[in-house]
Amino acid sequence: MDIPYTTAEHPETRLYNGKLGIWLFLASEVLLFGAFFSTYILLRVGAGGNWPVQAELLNIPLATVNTVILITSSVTMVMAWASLKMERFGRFQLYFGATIALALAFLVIKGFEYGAEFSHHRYPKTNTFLAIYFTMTGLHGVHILAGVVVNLYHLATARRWYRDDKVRLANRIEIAGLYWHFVDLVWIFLFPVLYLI
Amino acid sequence: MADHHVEKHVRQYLIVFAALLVLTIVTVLASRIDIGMAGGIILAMIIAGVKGTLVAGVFMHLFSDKRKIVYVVLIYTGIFLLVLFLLTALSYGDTLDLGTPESG
Repeated sequence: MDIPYTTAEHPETRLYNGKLGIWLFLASEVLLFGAFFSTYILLRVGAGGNWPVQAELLNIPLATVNTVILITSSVTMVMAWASLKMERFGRFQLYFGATIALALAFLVIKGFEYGAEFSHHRYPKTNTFLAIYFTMTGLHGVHILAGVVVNLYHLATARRWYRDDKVRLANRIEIAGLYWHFVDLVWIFLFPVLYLI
Repeated sequence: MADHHVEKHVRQYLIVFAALLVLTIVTVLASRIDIGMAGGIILAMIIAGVKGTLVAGVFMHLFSDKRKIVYVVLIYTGIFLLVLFLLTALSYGDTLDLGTPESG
């Protein structure tokens, strides 16, 4: 049985089903990360003055580089989708491959950051700030990893999809893109909250 | 058939990309200015809010895509998110004093 409304708009929602699905999923993700941001505020305000200077514990230059990397990957992702819409498959592969490479670079840099923390004997158990820092960035990192896995699958199967159903491939990449931009959006808030203020 | 409508958006994507890079630098530089704890938090959140709006509005096509159902989903999500943060705020208005637990 074919999945309905993979390319055509559903008459009720005026969206193809996958797009409605990803927006509902992202709504749940907003509340997941929202709960952690709310927890962070509760812990920080509750600690009063007994809270470390975050910038002294973390590496701001590395996190800034990672922010630039993630923003760039968001642009390459939307350009990959636009390339498909303009029927430029070669460019799509280039931009989509770049998105995956940038995501991996983000994870490698995050790994260096974690490594530096551990080398200074700073662990989640060390203090409340580091506990919430590792939890929030760890959860975000898992989302990056999940995006890489899905995007690698899309890259591997793209040529077949492009041959058989161009519109559906563009929709699949649009869905992957919406997820990816959301992950970027979460980092845009995580960066100042955990590193700068 | 190639969608020529998308070509018009490509320039917009690149402009937003440049704006996001500039705002990232501004965020880092602004954090070094001593405007007090509250001022620093408000400024950082305003800049992050602008960046987030650009990503959601342009890259996620919320500015150009006028599908009502997406906005309905997001409005309800926003209400629940607000409740989540209000719960945190309410905990500071709670004056119930349970005292010190008795030993033994």
